[in-house]
Amino acid sequence: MLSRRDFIRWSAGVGLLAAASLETACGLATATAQPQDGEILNRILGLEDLLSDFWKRSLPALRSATDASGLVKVFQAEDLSHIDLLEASLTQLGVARTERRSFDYPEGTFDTPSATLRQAVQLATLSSGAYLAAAGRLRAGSLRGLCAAIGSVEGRHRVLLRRLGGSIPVMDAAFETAGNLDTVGDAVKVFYRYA
Amino acid sequence: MSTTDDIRWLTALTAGEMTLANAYDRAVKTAGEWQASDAVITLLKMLAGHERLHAEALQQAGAPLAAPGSGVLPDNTYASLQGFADAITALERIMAQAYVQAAAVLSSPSLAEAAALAGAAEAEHEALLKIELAGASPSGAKIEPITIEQLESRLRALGWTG
Repeated sequence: MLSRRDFIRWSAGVGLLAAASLETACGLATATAQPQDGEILNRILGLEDLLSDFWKRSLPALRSATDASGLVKVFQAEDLSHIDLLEASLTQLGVARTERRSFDYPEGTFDTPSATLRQAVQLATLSSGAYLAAAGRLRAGSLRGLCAAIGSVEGRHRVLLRRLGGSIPVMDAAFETAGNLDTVGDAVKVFYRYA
Repeated sequence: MSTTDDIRWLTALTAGEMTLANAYDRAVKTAGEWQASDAVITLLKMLAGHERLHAEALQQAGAPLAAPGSGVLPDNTYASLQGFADAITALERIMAQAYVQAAAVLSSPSLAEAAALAGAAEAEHEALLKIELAGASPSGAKIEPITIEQLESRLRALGWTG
């Protein structure tokens, strides 16, 4: 179902077209990238680093679940491509890449395929939400498009993982949900390994 | 990008959403002839509902109503479940691609985010259709965008008169 919040986002009061005119008039729809674009991309890159590590660690746990391990290999390759795309965008912006971290996971995460899939759904939800929120926050249209393009793939990961985990309904709304870019960094830090 | 360009995008996207919704509605009615499973019928009904909500939201955002009678897939699309699956999966893909480009070019961040949220849903629909009806997993690290001209051309080929 379309959530009330999403519907309001689309249709709020005077309509998005009127809001768009106002945003454009206020200079919010700038076509060129701004310094804060690099910061947003780096937050998402930190999340992609986590996902990339998680897929690598999850494969042994999913060995007995053929469908899941096949999909995870695809997701792993796709997320590595996303890292390449984000790094290339940061290079174009002249912004340094965020530091690569090592990660740890809650006890039991890789004990069973179902536990691994539960964590995978949470991370995929975080990822799709971050990209789709970025599509509304970035200043450069090209970067908004890039994040929409990748966020759609992350949403696909989320739905296919939910299906594997037996979630009903497999899609819980007519629209994907944007995440909170201000808290995504903290969500990733939860998994940091501190030597 | 001007408001006029925004309306052009919203109009074409609405036509695409209505085409999808009409197609799913007819598929639900035809499912008995296809001997489709209950799971497939449930999926088709869910997708029809999603597309109608997308179309409603686009109209609330400023898109004009789709022309009556437009946005209908040819009769032979419904000759078999497999034929329908091929056609509808392709159209879901086109819509996901169009929303990606819309997110890049619409004149405001709020419109861009709304397009991204709807486009992600279309990509998820495509994935579910592929896996449920064709037994294949979708892949590709990103959804490649298409232009407004490409979207309009595809829709006109399906009978859209806008």
